[in-house]
Amino acid sequence: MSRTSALLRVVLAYTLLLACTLVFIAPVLFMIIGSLKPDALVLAEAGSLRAFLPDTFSLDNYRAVFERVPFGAYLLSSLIVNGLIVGLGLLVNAFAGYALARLRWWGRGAMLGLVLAVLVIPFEAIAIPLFYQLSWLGWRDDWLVQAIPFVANPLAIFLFYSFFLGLPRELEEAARVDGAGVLSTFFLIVLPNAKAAFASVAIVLFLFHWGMYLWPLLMTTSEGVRPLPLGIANFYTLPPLQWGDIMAFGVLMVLPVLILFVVFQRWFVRGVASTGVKG
Amino acid sequence: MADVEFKGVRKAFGDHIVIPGLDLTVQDAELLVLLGPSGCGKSTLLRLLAGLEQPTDGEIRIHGRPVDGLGPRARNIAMVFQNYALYPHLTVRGNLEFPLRMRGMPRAGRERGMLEAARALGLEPLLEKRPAELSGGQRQRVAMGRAIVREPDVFLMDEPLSNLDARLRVQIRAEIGALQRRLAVTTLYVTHDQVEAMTLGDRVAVMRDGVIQQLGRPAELYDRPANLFVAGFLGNPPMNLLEPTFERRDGERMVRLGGTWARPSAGIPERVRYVGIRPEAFSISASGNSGGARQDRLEIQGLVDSVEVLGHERIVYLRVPEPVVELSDGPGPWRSAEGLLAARLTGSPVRKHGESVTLTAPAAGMHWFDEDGNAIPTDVR
Repeated sequence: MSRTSALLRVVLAYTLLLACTLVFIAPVLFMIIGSLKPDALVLAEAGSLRAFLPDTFSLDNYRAVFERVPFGAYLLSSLIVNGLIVGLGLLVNAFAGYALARLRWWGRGAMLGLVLAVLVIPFEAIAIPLFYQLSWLGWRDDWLVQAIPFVANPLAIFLFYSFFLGLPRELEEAARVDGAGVLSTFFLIVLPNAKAAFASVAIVLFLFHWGMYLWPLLMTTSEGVRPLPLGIANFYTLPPLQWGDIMAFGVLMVLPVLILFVVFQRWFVRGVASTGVKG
Repeated sequence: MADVEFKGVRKAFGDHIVIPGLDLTVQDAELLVLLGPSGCGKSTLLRLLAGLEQPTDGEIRIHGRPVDGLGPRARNIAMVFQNYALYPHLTVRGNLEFPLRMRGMPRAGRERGMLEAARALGLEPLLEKRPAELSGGQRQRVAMGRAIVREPDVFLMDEPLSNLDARLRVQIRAEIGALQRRLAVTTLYVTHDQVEAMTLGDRVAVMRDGVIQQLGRPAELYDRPANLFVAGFLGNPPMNLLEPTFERRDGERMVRLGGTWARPSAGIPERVRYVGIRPEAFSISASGNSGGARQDRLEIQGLVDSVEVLGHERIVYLRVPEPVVELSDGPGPWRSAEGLLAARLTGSPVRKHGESVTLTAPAAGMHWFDEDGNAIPTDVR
């Protein structure tokens, strides 16, 4: 009796979990399968189960993505902009987090409060003032202007700050006694022991900015510097409207994020666990 | 030759004064132990010397050179931390080489220095391992190796044995002593463990609330404690402390100690406020033989409370009818506790709980302290 009820409970639990999983994964599946279907069928079958059970596959949509828009250029722009944000962001935010966590300086408490306060300001609220500011400087329409405003990131600073607080202070003191200065202590001792924090901040920065739309739309006009989200938007204004192409573009756009996450998943989980920040 | 000097060194963190003003001279090649309970400022003193903290006031000299304002790297000192602070991402080799790398030593010299230190501590088979793969004792040795590798002017050790189990602690303690004598490097060693202090130190400084209570050779501290704090801190079980009561009866001066009247007063002058007797100064006999005290010895009667058998010796706790004095952690140096005296005995028959016995101590085994807890020299007897 108790064995049957235990079994029943397991079956029920898994059914529920499976249902939840399906709800969340359905749009992704719809996109992937839609990208492999002839364009006409994408919307036609959308309301039925056939949306997930296609009988014909083709890569025509992918070919169309490359033929109809300069996908390579969009991808290159996205990679460069995000590479700059992640690369410079890791350095700048790690420095800031370390200074807040370890160095003694006047106004440190106030600065920490400011960083936390800035966390709650949505980017959309400052997009227009920032746009005017940079336009006034005459700085527009290149890769750097899409990246530099996002290098310093309060969440990243806070992640680093809380991680560095948890590192044993004796390690740094030992390094100082052994003759290391502040910078060599940071690069030779702190940094190698903070891989998890660096990985999770890298992923957070990448995820935040890979899908960025508003800022590049405001700041760029040339196709050569525009990133992927503006590219996919292009399809909506490019007749005829081909949903299959849009699905294929979407898959190609999501792929780098998935790869990054799978490669760094171990670090990401550890980083989130050790910084005590839940995603 | 004086190697390390603290002159009027004061350290406060905000309003909290850790070291109110301290003078201390450490001789060349000496191993000086800073001993005291936690929070007594001994680690702060070490950190001041290392340059990890700067004094609020006063001067510190190493080799006669003032080091105020200099960071740790300019002081050529090496430190062994309580939790070893080995760099987890580096192998043993990397850990040992790190101080040499920071000095900008070329690769060949680094390799030679690293191997020398590794050989001295038996670390050669472990060179490619990371700290996480090492046992506690091995980690401790690597920490020692990292300290000796660059031939520092001064070694600082902050409770280096406290994370080891008892057996290993004894072994590594001996190794540290031997290594220090061989290298003849001035060493400051911080511990709260009196056995470490007594066995390792050329001299021991007993500290309390940032003040050195007594500085001297281990035997000196044990045999002639300068005050109640030192008397109570060294020795296990600690020194028995009793408050004598003086009275005149029939024209004769009498003293009452632990509830036993003595006549005449065992030679104790009346300004003595506390009488201390080490547990090993006592011998024991069945009650009823005599009682009280004579000029050359002291007798206290009581009931056996409990007996701890430690193999070659036993600790007998004797219940006496009056409270005894015990050191306190609070603001006052001492407080009254229940009337239990400890006697460390060898060879005498096992005593039973409740048995009535007499503890006898020679007058020479007494320590006298005045009202403020300072020792009164016993040569005034």
